[in-house]
Amino acid sequence: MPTLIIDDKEISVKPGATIMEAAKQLGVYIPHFCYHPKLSVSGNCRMCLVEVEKMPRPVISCAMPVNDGMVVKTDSEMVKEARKGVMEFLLINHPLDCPVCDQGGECSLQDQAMMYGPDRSRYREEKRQFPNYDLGPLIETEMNRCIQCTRCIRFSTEVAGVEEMGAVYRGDHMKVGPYVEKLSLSSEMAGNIAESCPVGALNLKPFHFQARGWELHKADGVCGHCSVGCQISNDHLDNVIKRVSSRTCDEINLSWLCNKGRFAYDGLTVERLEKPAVKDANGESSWQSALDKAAELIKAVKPEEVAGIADPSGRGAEELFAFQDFLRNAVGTTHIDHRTRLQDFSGDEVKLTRADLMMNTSLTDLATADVVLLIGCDPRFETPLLNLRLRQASLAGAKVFSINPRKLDANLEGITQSVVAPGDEIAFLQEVMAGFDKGGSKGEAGTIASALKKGERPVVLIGDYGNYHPQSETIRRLAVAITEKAGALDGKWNGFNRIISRGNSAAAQDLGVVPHRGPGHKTLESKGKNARDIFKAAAAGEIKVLFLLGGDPMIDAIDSQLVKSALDKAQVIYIGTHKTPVANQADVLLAGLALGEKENTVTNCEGRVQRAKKAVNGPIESKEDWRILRALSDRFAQPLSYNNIEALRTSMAKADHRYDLSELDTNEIAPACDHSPVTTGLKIAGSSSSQKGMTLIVEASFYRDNGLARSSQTLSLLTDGDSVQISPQDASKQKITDGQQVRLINGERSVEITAKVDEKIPEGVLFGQFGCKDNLVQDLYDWEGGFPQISIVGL
Amino acid sequence: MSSKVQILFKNIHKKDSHTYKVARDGGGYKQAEKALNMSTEDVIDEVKRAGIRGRGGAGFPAGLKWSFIPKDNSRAKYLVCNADEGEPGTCKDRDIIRYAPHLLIEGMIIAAFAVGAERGYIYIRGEFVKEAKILEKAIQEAKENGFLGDKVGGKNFRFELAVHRGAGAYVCGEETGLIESLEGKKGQPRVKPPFPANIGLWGGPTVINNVETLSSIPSIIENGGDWYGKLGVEKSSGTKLFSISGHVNKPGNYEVELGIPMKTLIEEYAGGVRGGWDNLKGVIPGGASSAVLPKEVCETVTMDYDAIAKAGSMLGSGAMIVMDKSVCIVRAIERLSRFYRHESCGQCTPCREGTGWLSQIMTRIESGKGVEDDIDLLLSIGNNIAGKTICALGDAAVGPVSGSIKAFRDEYIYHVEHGRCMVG
Amino acid sequence: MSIMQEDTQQDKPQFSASAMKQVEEIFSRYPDERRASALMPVLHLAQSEFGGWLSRPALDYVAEVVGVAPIRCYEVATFYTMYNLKPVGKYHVQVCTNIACWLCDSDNVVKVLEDKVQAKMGGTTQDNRFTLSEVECLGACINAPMMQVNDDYYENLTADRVAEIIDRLP
Repeated sequence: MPTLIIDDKEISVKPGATIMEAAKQLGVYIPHFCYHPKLSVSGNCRMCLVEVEKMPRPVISCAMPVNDGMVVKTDSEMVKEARKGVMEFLLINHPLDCPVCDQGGECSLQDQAMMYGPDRSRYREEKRQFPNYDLGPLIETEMNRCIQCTRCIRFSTEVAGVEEMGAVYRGDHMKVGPYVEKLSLSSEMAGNIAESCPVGALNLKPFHFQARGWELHKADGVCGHCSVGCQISNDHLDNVIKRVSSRTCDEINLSWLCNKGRFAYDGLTVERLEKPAVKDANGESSWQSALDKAAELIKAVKPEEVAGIADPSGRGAEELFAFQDFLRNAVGTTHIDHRTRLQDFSGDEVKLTRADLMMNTSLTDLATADVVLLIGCDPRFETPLLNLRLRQASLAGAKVFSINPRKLDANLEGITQSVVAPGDEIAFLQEVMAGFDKGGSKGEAGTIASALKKGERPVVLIGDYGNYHPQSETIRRLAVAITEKAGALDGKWNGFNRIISRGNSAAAQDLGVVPHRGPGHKTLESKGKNARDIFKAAAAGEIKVLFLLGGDPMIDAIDSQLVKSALDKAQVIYIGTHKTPVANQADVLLAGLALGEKENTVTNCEGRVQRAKKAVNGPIESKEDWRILRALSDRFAQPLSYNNIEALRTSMAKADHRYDLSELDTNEIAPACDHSPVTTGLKIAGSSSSQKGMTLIVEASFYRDNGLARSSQTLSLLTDGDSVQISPQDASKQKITDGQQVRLINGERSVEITAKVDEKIPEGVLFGQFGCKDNLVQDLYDWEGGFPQISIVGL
Repeated sequence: MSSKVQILFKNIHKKDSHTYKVARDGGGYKQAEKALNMSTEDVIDEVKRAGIRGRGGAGFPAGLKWSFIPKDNSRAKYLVCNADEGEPGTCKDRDIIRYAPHLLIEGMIIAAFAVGAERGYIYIRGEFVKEAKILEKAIQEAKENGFLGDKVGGKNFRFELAVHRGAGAYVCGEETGLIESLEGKKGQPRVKPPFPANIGLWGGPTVINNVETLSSIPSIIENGGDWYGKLGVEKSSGTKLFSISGHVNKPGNYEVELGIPMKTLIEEYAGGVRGGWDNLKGVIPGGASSAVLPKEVCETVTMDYDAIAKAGSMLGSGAMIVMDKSVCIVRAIERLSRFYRHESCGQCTPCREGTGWLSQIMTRIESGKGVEDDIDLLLSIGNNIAGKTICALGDAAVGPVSGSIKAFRDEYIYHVEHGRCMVG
Repeated sequence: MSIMQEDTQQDKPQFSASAMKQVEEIFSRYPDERRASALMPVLHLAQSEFGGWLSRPALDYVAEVVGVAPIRCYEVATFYTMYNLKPVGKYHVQVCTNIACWLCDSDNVVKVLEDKVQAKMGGTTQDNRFTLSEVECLGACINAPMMQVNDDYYENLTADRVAEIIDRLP
């Protein structure tokens, strides 16, 4: 460990560290603009020049590796002079428009100008002018303010893996940008270029002129848009979230956020459920009458005729816990679930552990994997910040393989993609299995097996397609078996990862929002109905009251026709935040709160438990979901036992020790993957036969995956209209042109939608998306029917 | 130092000197054959003992540079010849390329062998279209005659050589800018450390030498490092090509031993100053980046690295730009400032902003709109650039400005006060 | 002011079969995994194949051929001065006005040229025969003043010689 002296203070640092890093460790701040701890070192701004004894010239601390015995001065006359010089250069062409700049008050250049800037300019020449770019709906540009630090270029190229930003021309004419004047940035993480811009050149368009940095209050939050659980700050003013920014967290999101997490917040104020309501009650409903009505509906039927469906995304662990508590203990029903896209419930027949259900490789470890196998998983658009770790691994040389029904639009270096038709996955995975044996498999499966075999740190990831496949449990067991064969379940390195992208699903699993387990993964004596059977029973009139917590199964569940008839038949009680289709149909509406409006606990895909603070108040008559449940339970013989959130958390922690965060220090983060082992040796079912004709796959739509995202105006600008994607081969066979209106038919069911011809779609498969408001392609799915076989007619 | 030793230009006056046949008949590739029979350590040792310093401008000892290349073979190593001759006033490498390309190739073979590089590139400035063709032809000939390819000179040594043309960027003469350019990117110099000897082209250890440096190597192998070391003067050994341009009667490239008095070089080789020695105003001694030396200094200064440095300038590439008394120094420097602004890569703050600023002030003064503060402002800006940039272009842009203010301040003052030049 | 060249209406050009052969030869100069190094020589080739300049579709095409992102190609094409991003005349006359040439009266070369072809530095004649450019040192200082017409250097210029050279161009 080299030891050096910085400003008379001695410090030892790891070999290869830079002066900047050593100084940071010592708590000595060295001003900088281009340096960013999560990007490569560029060394161009020259602001971090320091004096090193025995060196004739000042050196840049961001790039200079430390040597043993080095003596560094960060505040000598030489350094001050150098900084003043650099500041003057940066300012000669920088506009004096801080008063109208979004970055004002939060600007590195402004801050350093206070320290080192001249009080008047010696520059008598004309200031340089750059034209602005149109970068799409997320980023506002003011390129005259650019100081050419190239952070945005390095972010786009290195982190996002989307080479769109650059610096064209040279000298004092060097212009940062995409060269093309109008280019809507395509990266799903584009917002980060504004956040990492040290000046006001790249700004967040939705935040443009919305508030000044110093007026904003910051509330530490946890993003709930997917299961990664990025640390965010909800920056708010006058009870409105004005901006979402990232908090640096080395374990989870480094310094970044995806566009969904950063820009969906405007959905909080759109189409909100403002107050409780009772259907057919003329005029206003009070909380009193709404809760009375809900209790009346439930009490009017037998307990086993009541069922609860929760959407964990947007809910805190507290609410999920209280929901099942209310249903199980106040109402007395066992029919509880949250898995509205799951088709294969056979996993419920055996006792699966927490390790079987989520990730076992932490995000940090994921970046060090040397072989990655994606099974029915599109990490870039399911869990973008997890994908970033895979990208890091791939850049470090990891071999990445994908088994998916189509070629992914991936940004993983050197990814090898096997396109496997729906229904053929199990046979393919079995071939991979065989590849481990002597003789092995040939072809793509064989290559995957031999790579996994050679890998020191292999990981297997199952994503949404694999998790919601008609034979998902078989796929899961095969993935476990493959991981085991790869030697990645040996106790030292656990490479099995099941990634449910839906935010906070892990909490729903942990806290018993499933029919076969209670909170804390406790086995139950009597199992209730799963989500599919609940809707079936409701449609058949056997379940008479459906209690829905958040979300909208009409849009999110796999068989929307079944859901529709269930909702038509049963009495519906809905706790929610937005005016979704289900809200229009509910008999009792109870206005809850969205993330950011409540203090809550979120569990991510690694099983890591985090707390989020409240930023703003929701609509004045809305209430925290758990309070609604608590109040409702008062109308039953056994009310919920907790009267405040602390008491609720104590009960929750008692049920599952991982939710006890009282031991954590303020800056500590709960552990990832606090569970083991993965269950091996389960029987693996045979392969279903390959499908004939056109198969429909319905995927999550990145920007429309949950209620809040669907309500966001900003995100709506990033999505195309509802469509079904079809291969050029099938299109020409069916005489369908791009953009044509088509009718998709599966027996009795049919949907009309626009067809989009896409070269990336393999023959024989149609791709639709969840989250459409009008054209519900999932209408074509029979919950028990596997992949629907579709005939298509041009209109 | 009385003998007129010719190392680089020995054979250039022969007819068809650029062909393999003429080169071979004149002893070409004999030294490559000799070196391939030596140990790599011995080759490096000879070059070290020769004390030859880089002829591109920085003057770094070549043997030492070679010895920095790691000896292990875990990574591919590269040899790059810097033929991006762009320093205003410099046109010496062009003559080597045109008239003695095989001498350069031979030097590269020896260098590549010494450092263990299997692949080499000659990075030539883009405008030298014909010169690039000559090199490509020479490489082809060398290949056909077994001096490039899998078995160089019949030995178990592989060396592939190709030409890479630049496209108009002075900064690519900077070795890491050159590497970036060779990698297909903008020629923006890299932050150092790491140096190319450790992480260079495509991340591999890389030696970069100037055309003249490499072309001097065969004679060092032929006659020994000690012999070469005795040419010239202490710490400036060997012969050097001087490109003498501007107001002389016989502008040209002259190969002389280092340490020759500047006056001798101008008067005896370059045909004297236009209008006689007393008509001399000053000489830029080592390419545009070096500070102009006024006549008083030129009277006595000798042409070697240390003497020129002591006189407040630098030997650089050895390009002497001679100016007689008709020259307006302010206008001359204004032109050079425009050049540096135009050639700044734009990457680091002091150079990007500073060269533009310097140039704009120089243009203002030259066009009669200067104010008195401008002269000190130029010096102050220069101070803020010098030593604070990623590469030497910043310093190069400052040198002519601050050097000329030092030697000819009265001309600047006259310009500011009268709005025009004091000469003509 | 426009950031990029104005002409974006052009169709994407394509290399002829013989140019494609040259591209292959260029690729062979670099290790397979270092193909990006071919960007500059392929841009040179594209410029000479596509009429002396590089339109944006041409840049996109080169990026595609070499296998780099378009922005990387834009960066390189705008960084180096020899890539013309606007159409040039049949003869691109580039006059060095840097110090050594200036000392030898390149001002006069500029003047003679401008008068001779009736265009200003930076401009193109109406008949598209000449484009005049002022350039930095081209490395022929001992034979100053000098100019370059397309690929050819003309050195030791005098007013008469400049006129003669222009007249003799086919």
